[in-house]
Amino acid sequence: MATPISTPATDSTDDKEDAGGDLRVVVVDDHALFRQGIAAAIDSHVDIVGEAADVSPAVALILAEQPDVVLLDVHLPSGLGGDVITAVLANDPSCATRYLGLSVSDSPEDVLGLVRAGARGYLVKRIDGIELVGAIEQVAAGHAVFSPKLAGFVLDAFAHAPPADVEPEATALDEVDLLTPREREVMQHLARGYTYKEIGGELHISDRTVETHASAVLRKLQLSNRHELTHWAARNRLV
Amino acid sequence: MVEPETSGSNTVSRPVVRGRSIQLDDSDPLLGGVASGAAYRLGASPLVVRVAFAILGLAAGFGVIGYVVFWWIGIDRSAPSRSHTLRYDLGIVVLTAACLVVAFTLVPSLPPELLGPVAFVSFALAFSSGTSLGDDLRSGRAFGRIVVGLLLMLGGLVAGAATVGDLGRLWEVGAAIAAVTVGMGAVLAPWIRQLLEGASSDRVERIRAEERADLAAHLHDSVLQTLTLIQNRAHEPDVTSALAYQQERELRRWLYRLSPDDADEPQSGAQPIRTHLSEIAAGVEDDYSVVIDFVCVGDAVVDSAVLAMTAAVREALVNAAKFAKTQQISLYVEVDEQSVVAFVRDRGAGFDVNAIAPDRRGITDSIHARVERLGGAAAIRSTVGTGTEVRIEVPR
Repeated sequence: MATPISTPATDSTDDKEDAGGDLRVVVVDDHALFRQGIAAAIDSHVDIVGEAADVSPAVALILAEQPDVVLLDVHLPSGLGGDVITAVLANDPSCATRYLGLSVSDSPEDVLGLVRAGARGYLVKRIDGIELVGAIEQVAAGHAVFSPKLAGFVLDAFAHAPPADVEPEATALDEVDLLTPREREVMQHLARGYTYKEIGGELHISDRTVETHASAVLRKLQLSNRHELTHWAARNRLV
Repeated sequence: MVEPETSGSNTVSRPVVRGRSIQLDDSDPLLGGVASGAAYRLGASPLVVRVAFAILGLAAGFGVIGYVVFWWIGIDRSAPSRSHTLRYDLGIVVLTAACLVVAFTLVPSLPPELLGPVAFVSFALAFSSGTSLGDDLRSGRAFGRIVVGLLLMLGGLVAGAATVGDLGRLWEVGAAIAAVTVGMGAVLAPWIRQLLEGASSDRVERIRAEERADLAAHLHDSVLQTLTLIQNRAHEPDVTSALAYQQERELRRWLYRLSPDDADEPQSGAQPIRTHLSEIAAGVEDDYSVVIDFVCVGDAVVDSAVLAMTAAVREALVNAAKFAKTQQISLYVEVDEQSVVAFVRDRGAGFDVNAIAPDRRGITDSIHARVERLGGAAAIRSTVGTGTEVRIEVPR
C-alpha cells in the first residue's frame, strides 16, 4: 500500500530483507484470529516459533525458545504485556529477546506502560505485513520503532521542558527529561509519518544516525521519572 | 371477569377492582390504603370512608378490626416490599394503640398488668414492619426504626419482668436477658452477616447486569449491525473495509470516552483543537474511504483563526483523498504558544507543483488564500510517484 520514498542519501543502504537468516518470532495475543492474521502476513519473511495467549504461557514459551523478537499485545487476559517482559527478565536476566508492542489501543497509558517495561517499540495493529516485517527487523537489530502516535506521545509528554535557566546541576541530572533539538526533529518527522530513511534524507543525516536518535528517545522514555510523564499519560486518554 | 391486563404488575395509579375484594390503594395511602381502596370500590369519597372507619373504631372497635382484616386480605404479597414514609410510622403507632385498646376492652379476661409488656412488643413489631429488606441500613430512617424497635423490645422484656417478679429483682432479670441476648447474637451472627452480604452482593450483581445490558445494547446497535452489513457486501472490498474502519473508529470513541479528568474542564462551549480536527478527519475518512493517521501534539481552544486554518487542513485532506490514489494519509498537528502547524502527507501519486495551471484556483484559493489571510503560510511539496506533503502554519 504505502510505497517507501527512496532518497539519494540512503540509496546505498542494504535491503533489510536478507539480513542474515530468518528472525525467530513469538506472537503473544489473546485473540486466535489476530494471531492467525499476523502469521499469514509475516510467515514468509520470519520464522514464527510459537504463539501464546496469556502471560504465563508466554513467559514459559519465551524462556524456552529465546526468540529474537516477541510481538506483544498490551492487554492480556491475566495481566499486561509489560508483565511478560518483567517476568522473563526476572527468570532470565540475560535473555536477549526484544519486544515490539502491538495493540489496537492508542491509549498513552498503555503504550507508555509497555515501553517503560522494556519494549523497543510500539505499533498499532492496523499496520500492514511488509511494514510489520520491517519493524521486526529494526527491533531485532536493537533499534527503536515509533508509530506516529507514539512519536506524538513523546513530543506531548516532553513538551513542557524545564526552562533552560535552572541550575546547571539540575539540568545535568534531568538530562533524560529533555529532548535534544535533533531528537525533537526526528520525533516530529516520525509523527508526520516519515520512515527513518526519509528522515535521514530530510535532515541530511544517515538513517543510522536517525535510528540512534530514536533509540536515545526510547531510553529517555524508559528512564525518565518526571512526574508529568505518568500524570500526563493518565490524563490523555484520547484516541 | 377479571381483565388480564389489570393484574398486579401494572402501574395504573387508581386501584383496580379484583374479584369482590378491596384492592389497597397505594398511590396515596394515609396508612395501608384500605380506606381509599374501599372508597373507590364503593364509589365514595376516601374522607367519608376514613371517618366511617374512625367512628366504627370508637364504637366497640369494629372499625379497627375491619381495617386490619381488610388490610391483611388486601396486601399484595407478590409486590416488592417498599420502604415506608414517616406518616406510615405514625399511622401504624395509632393503629397498634387502637388494636390494644380494642383487645383489652373486648376481652375482659386479659389481665390488665399484661398491657405494658404486650404494648411494648406490639409497638416493636409494628415498627419493624416499616423496614423492608431492600432498605439501605445506613439511611437514617431505616436505622431509626431498628433502634426504636430494639429499645421497645427491651422495654417489653423489662416491663414483663417487672410485672412478673418484684422490682427488686429487676437487675437480675436484666442481666439474664442481656446474657441470653448476647448468646443469641453470637449464635445468629454468621447468619445475619450472610444476609447482609447477600443483600450487598445482590446490589453489585444488579449493577453488573445493567452494565452488561448497556454494553450488549451498544454492541448490537453498532458492531453487530456493521458485521451484518459486511457479510451482505462481502464481494465489495472497498465498501467492507470502509465499513470496518468506520465501525472501528466509532467503537474506539465509545471505549475511550472522555475520562473524568477531561470532564472537569470548563464547559465554555469552545472545542479543543484536537477534538475539532479529529472530527474533520473522521468526516473525510467517511466521505472518501481513506484512513487518516492523526497525531496531535499540544492543544488549545478553537478560535476563529484556528477554524479558518482547519478548513484549509480539511481541503488538503480532501485533495489527498481524491487525487493521491492512496488510502493512507497522515495528519500531524503541533500546537504551541506561538503557532499552529499542520502537515498533511500522503505517499500517493504526487504531482508537479509548477505544472499546475494558474487558472486552477482550487489550491490557491482554498488553502493559500485562507492561510495567508490569517498571516500564516502554506507550502506544498510534491514529487510525482512519491507523494505530497502540505504544510500549513498560522500564528496564534
